[in-house]
Amino acid sequence: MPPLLLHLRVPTKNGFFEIWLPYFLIYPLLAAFLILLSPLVFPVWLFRGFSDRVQPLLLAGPYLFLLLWRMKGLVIDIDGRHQKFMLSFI
Amino acid sequence: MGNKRKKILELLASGKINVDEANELLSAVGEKTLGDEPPAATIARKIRFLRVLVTPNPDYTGPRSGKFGASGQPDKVNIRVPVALIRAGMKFTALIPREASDKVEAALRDKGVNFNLKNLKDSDIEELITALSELEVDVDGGEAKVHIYAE
Repeated sequence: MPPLLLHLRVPTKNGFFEIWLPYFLIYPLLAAFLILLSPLVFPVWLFRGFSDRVQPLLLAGPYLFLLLWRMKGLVIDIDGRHQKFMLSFI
Repeated sequence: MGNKRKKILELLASGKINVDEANELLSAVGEKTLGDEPPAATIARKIRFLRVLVTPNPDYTGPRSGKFGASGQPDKVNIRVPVALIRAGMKFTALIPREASDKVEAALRDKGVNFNLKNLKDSDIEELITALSELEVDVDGGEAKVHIYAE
């Protein structure tokens, strides 16, 4: 199950600011972005083949998608006297 | 532990039977024989996260370094990284252009590290992650305690 929410707590002047972001929105946005880019990417692949230079271009999008999909459970929590920062993918 | 297995092991311990006889008896009752247990190194528990915990050391009474501001106490740090994220991140080595990976490998070779980025396979990554299941780092001394482990 991919992460659906991003819990963010960032320090501000007077303390900290906490927010829950709808992380699930990133998937359709990224998919739409990759679809928009595909008319540029696929002709390059057709003309140049799957060479070393084209491979990063073709794989970057899917790998980025995979990376964002696998973020569930990532927690970075720093709690100090002068700073409180938290990032949690739920 | 089954009763029959226990009786057999008691007989072995008391010297009434030898190891070979004990093994025969154990296989006869359908239990694993002695020496069948895989070595501990091959039993790898499935890990899901890598944790890094830094906590202030409550028992520390020495002088403070002053690195941690007016409070003198180090920050609490809790980092949890999913192993699935590590696997996904390792795939990005396939995106490194050949020219860049050649330079990285040449620089590593100069330092005595023979590492081939392009030949990194999924099985190598799985082996690395399996080895991480045994990782535990405990630093207990000074102003902070550091604990790194897999769970």
